[in-house]
Amino acid sequence: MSTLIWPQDALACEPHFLSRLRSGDLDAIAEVYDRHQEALCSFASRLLGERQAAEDLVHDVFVVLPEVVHRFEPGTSLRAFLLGVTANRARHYVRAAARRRRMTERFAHEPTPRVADPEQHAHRKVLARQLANILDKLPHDQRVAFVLCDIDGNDSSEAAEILRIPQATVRTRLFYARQKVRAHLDREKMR
Amino acid sequence: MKDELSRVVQAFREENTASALDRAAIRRRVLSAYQRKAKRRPLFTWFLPAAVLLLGSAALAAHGTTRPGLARVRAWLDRGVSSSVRAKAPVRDQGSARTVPAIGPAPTAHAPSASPPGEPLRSDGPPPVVAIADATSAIAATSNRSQRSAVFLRPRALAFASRGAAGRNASPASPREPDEAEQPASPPPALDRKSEQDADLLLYRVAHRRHFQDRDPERALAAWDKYLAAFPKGRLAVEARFNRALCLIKVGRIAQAEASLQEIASGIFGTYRSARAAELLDVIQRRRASAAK
Repeated sequence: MSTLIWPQDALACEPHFLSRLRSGDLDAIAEVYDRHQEALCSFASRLLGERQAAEDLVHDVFVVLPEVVHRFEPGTSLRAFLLGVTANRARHYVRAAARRRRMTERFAHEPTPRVADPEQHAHRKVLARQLANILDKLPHDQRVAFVLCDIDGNDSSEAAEILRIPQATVRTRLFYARQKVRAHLDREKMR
Repeated sequence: MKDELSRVVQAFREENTASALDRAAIRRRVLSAYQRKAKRRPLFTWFLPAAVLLLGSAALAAHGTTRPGLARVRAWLDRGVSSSVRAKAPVRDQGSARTVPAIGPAPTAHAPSASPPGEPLRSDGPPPVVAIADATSAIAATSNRSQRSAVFLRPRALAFASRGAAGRNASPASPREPDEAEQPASPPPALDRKSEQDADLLLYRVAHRRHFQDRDPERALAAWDKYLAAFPKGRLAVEARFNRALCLIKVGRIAQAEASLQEIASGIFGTYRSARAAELLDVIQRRRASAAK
């Protein structure tokens, strides 16, 4: 498995920094957050398809970081490690997000924000919600693989690095996930 | 179809971006969580272990001084405050360093009279055994209760004693009570302290059964004698002497019973049972006095 090092990971290679992380040093946590929040927030948001749950998930990942950082191997990517932790801790949040989504859909009284092209925005929103609903029906592993590769744009080797699984496994999960998403889209179209 | 999937994915991607999240708020939440943790840390590192240590030592001390059984006995005795005579519990048995709890409320002061007051007792012949024996029945009843408690305080120990002391050669599948023939007349010299205590209880239990369950005073007397011969300073020796005196009364050996009760009442074995022995002596003497009239 190849090792991916993002530019933001340079700091994580310092052993002193890791020990500060382990001890829950506030500055070290803030430093890591500032460097990796973009990737984590994006991934969490896309994985869960819901803002509130995504915020909770990112918060949770950074709160447990000192307890799990001993699993991080120096020399590997801290960002990939954090994304892996996010994927692992997302199970509970996925369920919560799906539950909330079902609730909001039932009532569907959310105000639509003012945008330049309201029609296009509304259509995009409908499509996004459609995919979010389909993702809720996927098994967690397939969902993670689909979000990492097809939505976040990582290739299978990067996803394998993040999830610490073989590339072939990622590709298999991705294959089944795409198959199910297509099947669901077909069914939606038929309606 | 591919277009459809990519369109949906594109829409989902645009709709769910990192900017949709309030990242500054998440940062504040994360850092405040760490600050709260840092504030809580002294509690877990110092106060909690100290509290656990304190509680543990207190519990240990309480366990060492007050046994649960003893607390129960004390509570029971406290309920029986109305009784005119109270056994002092616990008292230290003279013969051993162990504390023997005196269980059960004291009898009401006057024993029931079986014969009418006017009926004389023959002073020359054998004493009216039945009458005195009846007079002791109230005392014996409470004694029975107390002994039941005393004997069954440690049922496991007794079961062990039954198996260990008497049934060494017997089949382990037959946990029956050992008969008198199987009992050791005296503790084997090689027995350690625990085994000796178990043998002590075993002999006591046999005598107790003869006395209070079989209600056979002759055999009970023999069993009490055997117990006292084997363990003259046993843990329940005073109780055994008292019960032996009751048996002596029942079989009509009043003079011997009196001598035995005198010993107990005089306090040479401690204060345990001395009040009851004195009470019983008083009953015997009153009977004798009324018989002399």
